[in-house]
Amino acid sequence: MRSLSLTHVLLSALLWCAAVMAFVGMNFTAFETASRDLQDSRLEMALMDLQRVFQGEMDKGSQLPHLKRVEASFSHYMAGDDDVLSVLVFDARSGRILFSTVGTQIGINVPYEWREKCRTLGSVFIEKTPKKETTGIPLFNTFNENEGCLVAEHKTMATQITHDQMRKTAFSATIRLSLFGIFACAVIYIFIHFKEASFMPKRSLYKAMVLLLCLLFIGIAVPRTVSSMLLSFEEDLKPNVAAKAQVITRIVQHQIEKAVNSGIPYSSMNGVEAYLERIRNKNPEVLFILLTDKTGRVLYEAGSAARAFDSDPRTGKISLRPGYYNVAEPVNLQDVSVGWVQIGVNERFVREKVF
Amino acid sequence: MKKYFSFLITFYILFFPVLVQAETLKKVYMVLWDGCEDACRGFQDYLKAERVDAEIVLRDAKKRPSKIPEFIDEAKKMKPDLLVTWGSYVTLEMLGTERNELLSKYIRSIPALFMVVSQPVESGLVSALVSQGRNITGVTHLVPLIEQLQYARQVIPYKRMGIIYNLAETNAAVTVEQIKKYASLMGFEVLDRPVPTDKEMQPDPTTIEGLVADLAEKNTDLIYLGPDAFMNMYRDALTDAATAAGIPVFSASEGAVRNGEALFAFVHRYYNIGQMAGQKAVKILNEQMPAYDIPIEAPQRALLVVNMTAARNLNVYPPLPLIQGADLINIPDELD
Repeated sequence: MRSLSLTHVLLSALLWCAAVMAFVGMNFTAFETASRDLQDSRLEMALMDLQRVFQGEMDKGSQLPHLKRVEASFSHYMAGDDDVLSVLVFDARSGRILFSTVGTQIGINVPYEWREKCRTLGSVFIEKTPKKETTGIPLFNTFNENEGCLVAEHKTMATQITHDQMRKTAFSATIRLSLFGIFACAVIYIFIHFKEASFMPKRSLYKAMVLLLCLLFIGIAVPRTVSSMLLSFEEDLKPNVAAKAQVITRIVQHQIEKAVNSGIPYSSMNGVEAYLERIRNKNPEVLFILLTDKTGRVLYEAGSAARAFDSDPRTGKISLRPGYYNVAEPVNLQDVSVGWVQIGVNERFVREKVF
Repeated sequence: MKKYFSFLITFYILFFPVLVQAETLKKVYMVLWDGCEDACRGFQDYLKAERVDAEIVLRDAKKRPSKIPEFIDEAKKMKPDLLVTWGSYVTLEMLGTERNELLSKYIRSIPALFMVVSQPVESGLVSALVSQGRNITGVTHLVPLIEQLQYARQVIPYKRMGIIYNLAETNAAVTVEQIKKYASLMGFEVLDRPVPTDKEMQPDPTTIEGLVADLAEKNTDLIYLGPDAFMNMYRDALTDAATAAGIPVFSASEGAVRNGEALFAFVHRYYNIGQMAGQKAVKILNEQMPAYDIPIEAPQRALLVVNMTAARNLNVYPPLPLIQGADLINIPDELD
């Protein structure tokens, strides 16, 4: 200990700061990537579901310009999504907008680049400008000829705000964590080199006490700061998680309603669990998907819902645990509710992936 | 003289676009069997959407075979840029098989495009779907048998498939043989039951019920109603007996599902067949491609058509993932 020089202390402090920056940077990247993935996959999921609806109708022998009735599906997926500026379909041959959630867009021609980019089977085209992002997927007829393109225009402001908030959180956490390390190094150095000022009679006990106190301080302050940083990241991510959960719920609801309104009894559908499980596997944040009847009795289940709920042994009341988010939409049979689609989301999915 | 010249110039200016158009205007001679239905409409809509300068001369046989020679003569005189035929009968009568195409009664010199022909190779129209060797192309409308069997497995995971068929019909007998071949690859058992004949050596429709009962006794999971004219004529006898025995019927054509009690079929809609034929017509008319260089194809995506009333009667429903793209028809009035 006596050989502890200022250089050693400075080096230790620098190493600590580097480790802090790497750690915070890793977390920031993970959360920032998750935020972008949630935004992109949310739009892609909704667009792909709409693509299936349009292509399904074309397979039945309808022409794309005559699919006005499918336009109603736009609002089903996009309602309440403030980020979406418009959803539209344009004709591949002429580039003319056939349907749009913004009435004034109908009839005008899209930029030529959109027509060029939205041609390849199985592709997704993305165009970014400072204020908005455009995502499009092509629509193919039954003999794989490009008939049109389904496009969603959305604001990038929300993504930018989330990004800025996360950057602020990461910056403040880096400063705090670095200061803790620098402070601990400084304390150790000062107390060991200026032992005359010490009130402790025994040197060894005194050293041990200083070290212990520093470790105790680091042991308490660092996890608290890390935890608050992760909570803050998760708070920033919440709107994206919620919006995507809403889209998934509506996709499932739409599918189930089509089945029950076509005569398939809600309580005896085939292949439901496999369908739900496939959705769950594609979306790591989804913890469970439940289909319940009107009374809340679970009929079909994918994933484990038990992990997300706490039950009070005295009252039997069930409540959602912190860190989990639940979205529910009714399943209607001719406008009468027969049950619910419930999706549980693990808000800590990024944290669990990182650690 | 001056007056004469100015008249000529005015005439030329006024009628120049018409003269040019007359030169570029293509002529399509289209022979139909029973009116302009979905495939015919799909074809016309496609040409319109692609803005093809073509005059379509429609000729409807109204189900009368005697009309076909008249159309052949007319087409030979007219010399259109493209001959379009609807259905196997009209196509074979207009173009002949590959073996007898050189007979003078058939059309040889005009590029031809057929639609709604179920088996162009088996019927002898062409020897192959690609590099067909004749100046003919077209669009078939049946989903290939192997695909039908694979799709059907997604609806009902069958292990025993029953087939009741008319042995005298080549199409039906060939289909049974093909299914047997695929059965060994796909790992299911085929229980084939030819319809017994009566005293006049005609297939006896009264035996269908008994054959279904026999299949039910052997625990058949599914009955296939193939491209069999006799069985399609008596499909109600088949589907009624099958429903009573609790066996779903899977049909090769949509008619038995839409107008009968068959549970499901994988099909291509005629409108799409017409559109695809239109796409090939554009290649011939606008891109000057010879018909023999354009492969004979069917649309890529098959459509699942499910009779929901039959599904309720049998208590057999298609799995959820297949429902989104499916056409669910005959939905019962009262839903559970």
